[in-house]
Amino acid sequence: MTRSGTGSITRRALLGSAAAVALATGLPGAGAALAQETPRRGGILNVVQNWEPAMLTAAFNPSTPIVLVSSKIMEGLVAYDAKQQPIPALATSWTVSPDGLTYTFKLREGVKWHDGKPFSAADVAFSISEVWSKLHPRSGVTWSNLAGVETPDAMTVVVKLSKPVPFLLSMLGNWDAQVIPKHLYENTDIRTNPANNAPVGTGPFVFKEWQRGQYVRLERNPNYWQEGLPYLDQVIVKVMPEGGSRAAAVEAGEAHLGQFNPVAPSDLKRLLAKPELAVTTEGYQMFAPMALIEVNTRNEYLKDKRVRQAIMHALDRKFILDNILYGYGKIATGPLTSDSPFYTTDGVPLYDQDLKKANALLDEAGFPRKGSAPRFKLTTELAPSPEFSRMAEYLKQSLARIGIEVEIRSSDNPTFLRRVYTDYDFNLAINFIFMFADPSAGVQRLYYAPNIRKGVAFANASGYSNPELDKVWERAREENDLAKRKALFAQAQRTIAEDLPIMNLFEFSFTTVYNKKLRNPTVGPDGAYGNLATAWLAE
Amino acid sequence: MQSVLTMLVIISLLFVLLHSAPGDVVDVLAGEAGAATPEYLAQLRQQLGLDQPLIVQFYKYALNILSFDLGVSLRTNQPVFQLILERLPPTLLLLGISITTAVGAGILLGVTAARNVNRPIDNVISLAALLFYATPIFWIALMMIVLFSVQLGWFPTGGMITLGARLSTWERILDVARHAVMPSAALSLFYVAIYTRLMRASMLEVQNSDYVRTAQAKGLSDGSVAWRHVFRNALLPIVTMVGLQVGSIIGGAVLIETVFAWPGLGRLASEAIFQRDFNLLMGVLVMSCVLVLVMNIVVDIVYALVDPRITLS
Repeated sequence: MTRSGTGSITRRALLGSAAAVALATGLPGAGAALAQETPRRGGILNVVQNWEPAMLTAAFNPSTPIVLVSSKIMEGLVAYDAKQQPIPALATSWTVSPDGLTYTFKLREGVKWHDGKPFSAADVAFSISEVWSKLHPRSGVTWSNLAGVETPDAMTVVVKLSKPVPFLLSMLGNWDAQVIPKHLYENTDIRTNPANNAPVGTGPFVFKEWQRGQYVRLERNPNYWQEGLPYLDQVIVKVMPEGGSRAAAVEAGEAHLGQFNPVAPSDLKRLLAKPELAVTTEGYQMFAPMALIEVNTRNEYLKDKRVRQAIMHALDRKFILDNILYGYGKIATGPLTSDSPFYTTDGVPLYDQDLKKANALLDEAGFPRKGSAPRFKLTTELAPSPEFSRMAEYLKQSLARIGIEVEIRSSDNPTFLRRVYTDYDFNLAINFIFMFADPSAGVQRLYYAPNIRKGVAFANASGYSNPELDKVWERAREENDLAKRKALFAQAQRTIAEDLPIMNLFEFSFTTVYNKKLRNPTVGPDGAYGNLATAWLAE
Repeated sequence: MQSVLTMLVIISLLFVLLHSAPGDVVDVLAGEAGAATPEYLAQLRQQLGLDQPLIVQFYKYALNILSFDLGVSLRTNQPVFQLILERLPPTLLLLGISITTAVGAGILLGVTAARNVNRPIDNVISLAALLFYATPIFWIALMMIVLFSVQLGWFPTGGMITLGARLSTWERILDVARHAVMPSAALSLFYVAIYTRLMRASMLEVQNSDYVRTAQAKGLSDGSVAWRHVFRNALLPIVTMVGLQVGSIIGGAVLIETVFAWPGLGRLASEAIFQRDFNLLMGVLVMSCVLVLVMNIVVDIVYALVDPRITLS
């Protein structure tokens, strides 16, 4: 979904008309030059970023502010094509043994770290065994079955697993598994290593300076392994914490690019009236952000799934999508986003707004209406964001119509996380969570009973326990046969949509706002974390 | 000595206050990362010393502070003192310009209004002061950006320097000045309003006192009376107010720095709150306290200069 700033005039239409003019006036070549633009070298790209990063290496802290900067400097073993399948990056090829226990990666020859030292298998082996499997917050999911890493020669890495991890290749991109230089990190405290703030990578851009609170400056890597790339001379990432100011910076042409909703949806319309600005929702598919309501099934009312279904039937999600999210999203049918290769609606119960049904379900559950008094009361938490505030207000109004009184409890982010994931002090919680490319990595954690773990963010906070579903997860996690895996995940989607321990509301569309001078602002299903190697600025 | 005691009391209060907010930096880090294992969280808490009883944490913190060690930022692993030093000059610049502007403009407008009391010029000044007084800083800042940056393109939307430009020292100073115009104007408007009203009221009050009548009776010129007898005496309440308000101006700087992406202490503090980076936040707050205390000493000195009856002993 790419929206053009001028609305009716899309870029293609513009090119077409320019070509027509060229033909009519007999200007040779003008049309061709426009239709097939040659990338221009040079230029400084200004990026606005919402938050100050904590450091500049995401190898063991893959938080968004860090990855946004770090992804230009550091690289992973693989990158991803439009179908979310791995393509070569630092690894040129790989083979997986039939039992799924041995992965052999051939590495790219002639790659140099930014400090001039050669890149080799030792760096990858070090990153796997000392960093990703030990210090990475998602290590428990990806690397818990790691049995060993071998380097038979300088350009080969063999990863041995004790049990299959069929989604391993989907977790090796530059935003989740950055390869770091062994020669700078060996025998040091990796967490506090100075290179975390002045990273040395293999990527298209070289770190130059970081003025905290102001900007990070990157320069083009003249020795980048992809010949002729990158096009840009410099990338400057400015930190601007205030949404209105970011909108102004983009509007005034001081910034060319902003990602992860740099501008509030309510401001976007005004901004897009400017012909030079555009917005896209591409480049987030692989993270699969889902807007949802987590339900505390320990609650005396919410433990009955009929109550949960009634709440779902009380919501007019089309209304929320149009009026609160300004159309940036898609109504979800279950725990997976429709971009996922495992997505299905086959046999999945859908929830349209149906107040009669909602009321009937609540009556049936044993909470009849007594006069004008509410059936019962609930509270709702919300992750801090203006859109979620409005969604909470809408929820309150909607549930009042089926006789449930809702109290909204706003808080800042640390308080929200603490209440929902540590204290379980919540009834409903409006939130968004990344589902990631593979359900075993991103979805299972929210519904798997052994993952009811106090104090762990984005674990199973609902307290939902379904032994049958747990078995499905366990089988799918180690199933190497794609068709069988698909069938297992289809079953999981049906069960979850029926039981609703979490109400999956919308496939959330993050926006990238950019100046049309910038070409290739986002590439691939993980383009928001892209390395900008092919990005260039037109005159 | 009194100042040191004040600091200790402030530190204890801050510590209790900060730790009564739910959640800690580890919750935030895990939230940002999108996932974490319990072992990872426990390890991180232990590493940061967050698993110890609060009283032990306080004891350690107080001990460090007394030896002028502000500790390490929980989130970035950088020494807090270094982080603060980087952010101090922009804030001092912003505060310096804003306070000077506020006091200067306030006095000028107040005196003008008082000398033309109830004439149109007084009405205009009083009305403007009322407007500025009633307008939220945050709103005025955003409106300034919309008007002067986006529409007119006179000033940059935010930041402190133009990036990527090769500038001479002189050009660099001008560049920073250009960036500082809107933030300091937005921050000072509210205080301009206060000082204008205060100065006007104060001038009018002094004008009716006996010694002014005496001076006029002596046959001194109007200007000389206004300057030597009225103005200097009317100035004292302003000086008192400035001393009292330095703290709240620093508070206002948090908003202004956020809106204008000004790389100062205020923004550092607000980010530290939302990230529950207590070491950093304590450091910033302690530094702010020092700033306020220093400013109060400066105000005491100014008193002595303005009013010969007050001496510094």
